Amino acid sequence: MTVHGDAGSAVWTRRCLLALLSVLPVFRSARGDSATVEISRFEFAPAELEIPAGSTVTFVNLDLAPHTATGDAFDTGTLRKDESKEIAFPIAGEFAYLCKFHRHMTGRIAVL
Amino acid sequence: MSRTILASLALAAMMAAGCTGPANAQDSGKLNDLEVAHAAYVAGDIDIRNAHLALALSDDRAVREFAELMIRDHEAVNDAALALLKKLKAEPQDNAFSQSLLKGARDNWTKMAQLSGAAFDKSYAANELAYHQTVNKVVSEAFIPNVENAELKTLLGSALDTFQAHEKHAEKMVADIGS
Ligand SMILES: [Cu+2]
Repeated sequence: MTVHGDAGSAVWTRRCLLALLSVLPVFRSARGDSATVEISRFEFAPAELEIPAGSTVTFVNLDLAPHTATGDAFDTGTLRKDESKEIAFPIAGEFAYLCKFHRHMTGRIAVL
Repeated sequence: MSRTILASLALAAMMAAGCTGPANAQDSGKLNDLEVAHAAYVAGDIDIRNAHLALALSDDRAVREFAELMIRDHEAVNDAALALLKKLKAEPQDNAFSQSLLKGARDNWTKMAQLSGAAFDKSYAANELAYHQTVNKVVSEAFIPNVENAELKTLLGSALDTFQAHEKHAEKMVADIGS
C-alpha cells in the first residue's frame, strides 16, 4: 500500500474495519441493542428512533398493504402483512427513510 | 324492488356518472355479511381493472405509479378477504349492490377506453379520487357499522386504512395532473 499517504491509510483502515464489521454479525450485534419498528395503519411506529451503533432494527408490517422501509443506506424490500426484516446499523449517523410505495410514510433512525 | 336495492342503484348510478357528491351510504348498509364481503371484493377488483386500463393507456409516470400501487394494495386486501372467507368456510354472495357497482364500472371503462394522453390521465385521476371517496364513505358508514362478524369488521377496518391512503394519494395526483 505504498501509494497511499497517511490520509489514504486512514481511509483504508476505516474501510477494512467496516468490511470486517459487515462480515462479523455476531461481533457487530454483541455491543448493540435490538429495536422494533412496527408499520401499522400507514405509519412507522416509532417514527423517530435513537439506537447505539451496532444495533439492529426489525421492521414488521402489520398492515394488509405491502410496505417498505427504504433509505439511502438500507432497504427492507417489500414487506407483506406480518413479514419482517432485520436491518443492522453498524455505523453512527442519521438515517431517514420512507415507504417507497406510500411516500407520505416517513421515519428516521439516529444511530449514536 | 326494495328500497335498499333502489338506493344502491342510485348510489352506483352516481358513481358511474362520476359524481363526487355525497352518496347515501346509510342506505347501502342493509346487506348481510356475505353480501358486504362480495361488494368489498368487487369494489377492489374494479379498481385493479381500472389500474390495468391505466397501465395499458397511460405514459404518465405519476399515473402509472398510482396504478401499480392500486394493483399491489387491492390485490393484498382481496387476498386477505378470500383467506378469511375460506377460513370461515363461507361463500361471498352476489347482490344488487355488487351488480350495480360492476355496471357503473363497465360504463366507465367503455368511456375511458376512448381516451388517450392527457385526457385519459385527467379522467383516470379524477375518477380514482371520486371512486375512493365514495367507496370509503360506504365502507366506513355502512359496511363497518353493520357487519356482524368480528373478523370481517377488522378486515374492513384495515381495508379502509388502505383505501383512505389511496384517497389522499389520489388527491395529490389530481392536484399534480390537473382536472
Ligand atoms: Cu407503504
